[in-house]
Amino acid sequence: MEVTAALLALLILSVLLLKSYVTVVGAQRWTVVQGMTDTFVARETAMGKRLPFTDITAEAGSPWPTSPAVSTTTVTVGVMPGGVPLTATLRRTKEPNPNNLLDDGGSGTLATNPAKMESWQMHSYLSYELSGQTYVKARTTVRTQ
Amino acid sequence: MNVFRSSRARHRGARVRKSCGYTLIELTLAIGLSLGVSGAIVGVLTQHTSFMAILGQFAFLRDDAPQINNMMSSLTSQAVSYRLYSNKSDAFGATGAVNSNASAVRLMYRNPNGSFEQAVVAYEIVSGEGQLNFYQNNGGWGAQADWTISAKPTSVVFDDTSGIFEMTLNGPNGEQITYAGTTE
Repeated sequence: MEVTAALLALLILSVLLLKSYVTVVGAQRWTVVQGMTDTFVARETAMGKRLPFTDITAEAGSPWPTSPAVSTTTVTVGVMPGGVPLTATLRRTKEPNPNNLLDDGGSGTLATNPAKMESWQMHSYLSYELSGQTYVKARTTVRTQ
Repeated sequence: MNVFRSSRARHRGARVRKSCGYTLIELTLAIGLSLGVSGAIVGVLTQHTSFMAILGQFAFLRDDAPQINNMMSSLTSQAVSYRLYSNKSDAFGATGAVNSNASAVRLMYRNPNGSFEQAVVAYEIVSGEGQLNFYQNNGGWGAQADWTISAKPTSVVFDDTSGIFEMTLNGPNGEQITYAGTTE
């Protein structure tokens, strides 16, 4: 009787411990993945600031196509312990400032934009699955010349 | 008690067995249950050990990599320029700069009086241990690092082919994370 009670207690303890372990590991994985995706979108901001303006505004081959066109790619955010790659979907697009001249995608005129300033908002959206949820992180970089 | 006595009187052989020990079935049952309890305890311990191992596997991405990034951010954000080199020797000699697969970066700092100081951050194997080391030029390069940023990565690769400074850290359990900076 006592031994049976001990076995039962150990079984209950084991199940409770397993449940707490799964919770802790899941929370830790959540934290690590959020950190890795934060790092990745920080790179998007760096790229947006660094790329030559002509590369960004190029008709063809721009990493950020002009809206409504959207560039969609599957990217590897990083590699988890055990060599498991963490993949996500990266979407990029850019929008002109409304006061850009017509040739630059806006509706401005020389009267409203006498300096012929050209400004673009570059949007990057990173979406990924984690713990059964879909997360999206967005970064916007403004470039003007 | 009377029942026991009468039973003992009726079955003398059985009484002798009960007073001297247990039946084989009782012993088998006791040993079996003991083994069950022991097995359950071992199972709980194994479970705990596995859990701690899993926690430990995340340590690099959770603790070490962000700390290395913070340190490198502090070092590079103060620099006025950088150059990448394949190894520490090339970085010391400022020869053979590369854009990718670099394991050393040479940093230049401007002092308030207008003079310059230079430093090198290099990943190298020292006494069999991989280290990300910092060297400062104090009239010459020292044979030993001024300090070690971290000895946890299994490799560190610098790259700027995309136009931005990138640092890829590889961890002991196959982890990999890439940090990007804005230093030009």
